[in-house]
This record gives sequence, structure tokens and C-alpha cells, in this order.
Amino acid sequence: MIDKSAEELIVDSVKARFPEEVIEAKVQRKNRVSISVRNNRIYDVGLFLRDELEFDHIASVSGVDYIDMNEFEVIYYVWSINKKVLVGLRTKIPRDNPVLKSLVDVWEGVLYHEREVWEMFGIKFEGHPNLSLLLLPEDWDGPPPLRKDFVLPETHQERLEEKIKKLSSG
Amino acid sequence: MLQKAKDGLMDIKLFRRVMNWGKAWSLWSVHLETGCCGPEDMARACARFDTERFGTLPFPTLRECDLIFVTGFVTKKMAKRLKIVYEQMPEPKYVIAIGHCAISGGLWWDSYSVVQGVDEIIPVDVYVPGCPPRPEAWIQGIRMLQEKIAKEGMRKK
Repeated sequence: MIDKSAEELIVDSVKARFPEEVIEAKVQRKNRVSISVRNNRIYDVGLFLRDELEFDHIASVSGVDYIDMNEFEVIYYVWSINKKVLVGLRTKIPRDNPVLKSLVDVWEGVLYHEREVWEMFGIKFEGHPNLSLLLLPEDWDGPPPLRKDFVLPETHQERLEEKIKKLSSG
Repeated sequence: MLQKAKDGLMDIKLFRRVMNWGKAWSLWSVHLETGCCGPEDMARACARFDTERFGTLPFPTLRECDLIFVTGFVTKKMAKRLKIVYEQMPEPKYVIAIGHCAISGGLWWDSYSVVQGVDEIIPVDVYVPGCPPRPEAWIQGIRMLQEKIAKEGMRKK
């Protein structure tokens, strides 16, 4: 019998524990694992990763806008310091109603990352204690700027055109 | 009375020249980095290029400074802070815009968060283009500003 690598063991245990919820789990390369789960159970999968598989360091949270499929994807990148494996925990949510349960109770480090995803994509994290603007200006009132259908405000466009006209004429 | 005496003194060209000389050779700069020309700022201030030869010393308190180097991108959030810093500085005060981003907005000039040129917020005296400009270009910018200051008020009469 061939010994399995740490990455394959992680994939197997997640698949065995959540057979219904895991859409896809695979080893991308050495030290990299990708797990796609349904959005209703991401909290439990996170808890399982933290408590039983020693994934203790949240490295980043990012969002992807799949405008053609009418979906957002939220990716939690979690390190295991003991196993030296990075897991990309992915979940897709509908674009019309972007609400996801916050993982603050699982990893406290997502506080800032989820705030950033909230302000850039407009994805609402339920249970997050402080969803307020982090990087955008305090008086920002436009739509989330990293969505694919974001257009600059009209005043901004007009000012740009004025400036271009001024530069090209003189 | 004091103001009148001062104005009278300033009418004398020699006094004006001495004052301009003092202003031009003690341009202390605020320690404020808005973007990624910042490392170039450190390079020009350190031993190799040493702009203190020209009187430009980076200084932590803005109350004693006369010069802002706007180094790189100014985001809309930073623009407010930059204006606060500028307004808190005592006269005389000068601004040098460093790099393409500070001059016109640079690579992301049409994005949601970038100000298209720092001259929309505060008046700029010298523009130094480059991405980033080398420390020699900074020195040239400082020298140009010194020449500008030396001519201040000299055309009168």
C-alpha cells in the first residue's frame, strides 16, 4: 500500500465528512489544495478544517465576479502551520442575493478581509460585527467598485473628458 | 507698525535677496509618502545623493517644514489628508509633484479611487516627471525650485 501525501489525506477526510456538500476537492500541486463547497455549509466545513485538520491561519479572503454565470465566488485561503498546506476554500453565491454566513467565529482573522470583500463586491457577511468601509473614502456612496458592471460616476467621466479635451487642444 | 516696517525693509532689494536666499537653502521636506516613489525619496535623502547639500532635509514635524514632495499616487482618501498637512504648514510652503502619478494620475488615472494630478488639490510649484524619477531628477527639481524662490518678489518696481 502506498502512503498518501498530506494533501491527499486532507482531501479524503473532507470528502468523507461532507459527502453531500463538497462539490469538488482536489490537490492542485504540492502544498496546495482546492475545496469547493455549497454555500449553506461553509461554516461547518471551516469549523472542521480548524478543529480536526489543524488549519489555523487565515491568509486571505478574496472575491471573484462571474458576471456571465450570475454568480460571485468567495475564496478563503487558509494555512496549516503544522502541515504546511494552503487550502483554498471556495463557495459560490448567487449574484442577485449575495449573502454568506461570516466565518468570524471560526477564524477571527477574517474580520478585515471580509470587510474588504464587502466593500469591493457588496457581498454581505451575516454575523460580521462591523461591516464598514475599510479602504474606500469615508464619503463613498457609489456601488461596489470591483464588480464587473461598475461604471465610473458621471461627474467623474465628465471631468475626465474635460481634462482630455484641455490636454489635446493645448 | 511692525508690518509696515517689514514691508519697507522688503522694498530694499538686498533684504529681499537675503530672505530669498535663506528660504531657498533651507527647504525642509515633510516626511509624507503617498505612493511608491517613496523609496526614491529615501535614496535621495541618504548618504549617496544627500540632498542636505542643497538644504533639503527630511523632517518629521510639518510645523517646521517648507516643502512637500508628493511621491506618487494620491488616492481620494489620501487627498484629504494631504490637504490637511498642506494647510497646517506655515508659510512659506512649496510643493513638488514627483512622478507621473502625482502629475496626471498615472497608469490608473481613470479608476474609481485616483485623483488625476495633485494640482487639483494643492498648488504645485515644480513637476518632476519619471516613473519613478531618479534622485538626480529630484535634485534638479529642488534646484529649479530654488531658482524660482530666488526670483520671488524681485520683478516688483
